[in-house]
Amino acid sequence: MAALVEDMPAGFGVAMDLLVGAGAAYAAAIRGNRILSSAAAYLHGVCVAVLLQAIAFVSLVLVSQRSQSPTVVDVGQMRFAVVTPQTALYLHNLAAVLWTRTITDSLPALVLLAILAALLAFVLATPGLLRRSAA
Amino acid sequence: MRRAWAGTSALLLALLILAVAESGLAALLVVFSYVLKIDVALGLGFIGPTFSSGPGAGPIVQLYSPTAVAVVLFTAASGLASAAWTFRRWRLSA
Repeated sequence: MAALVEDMPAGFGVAMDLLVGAGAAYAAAIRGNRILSSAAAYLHGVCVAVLLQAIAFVSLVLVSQRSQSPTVVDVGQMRFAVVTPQTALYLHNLAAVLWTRTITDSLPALVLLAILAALLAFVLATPGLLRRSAA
Repeated sequence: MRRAWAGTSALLLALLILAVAESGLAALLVVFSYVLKIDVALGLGFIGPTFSSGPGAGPIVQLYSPTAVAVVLFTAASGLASAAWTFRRWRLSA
């Protein structure tokens, strides 16, 4: 196997083929075992949960930027999070300043949200992609 | 005896994955606090680390102990539900 790999021409395409092939072989081996398959599913579920929580955090910051008063997240007596704005409140009387501030402040959060959503879509689609490539 | 060891190993592995995932989430919060120019204060019982993105930063996000508990429970439940679903519906494909 090592000699076969060494005889192959060096190139990005060959490297990608080897990587995808190795990934598909590992996926097939994991899918063939019930315990390994469940462990992989656990890892996948944890990854999805982390991404969902990151999206929730960025969404909370994004929503709080549209409000001048503190944003409180609580259920009954249980308080989860508070977002307190730290800007000079008198600036909010000027509609033009508020508009500019909202646009410029929201842009990084929107970009982060888009990246996280794309990552989540990729993670959710990965098992299906691997199954299709193995078939 | 072997089943007990296998169960213990699986439990330890699940806890390790959970710990790594929570560390990754905490690291993401620190990165986000710098990118979004916000201060993040964690009120976790007797410890309360604060990540400041510098002077003149934006809003302060305070996260309390119930958030930490909910985050761990949600992550573990998501992983366990996914694993249980796969374990019950597993079929050996040709």
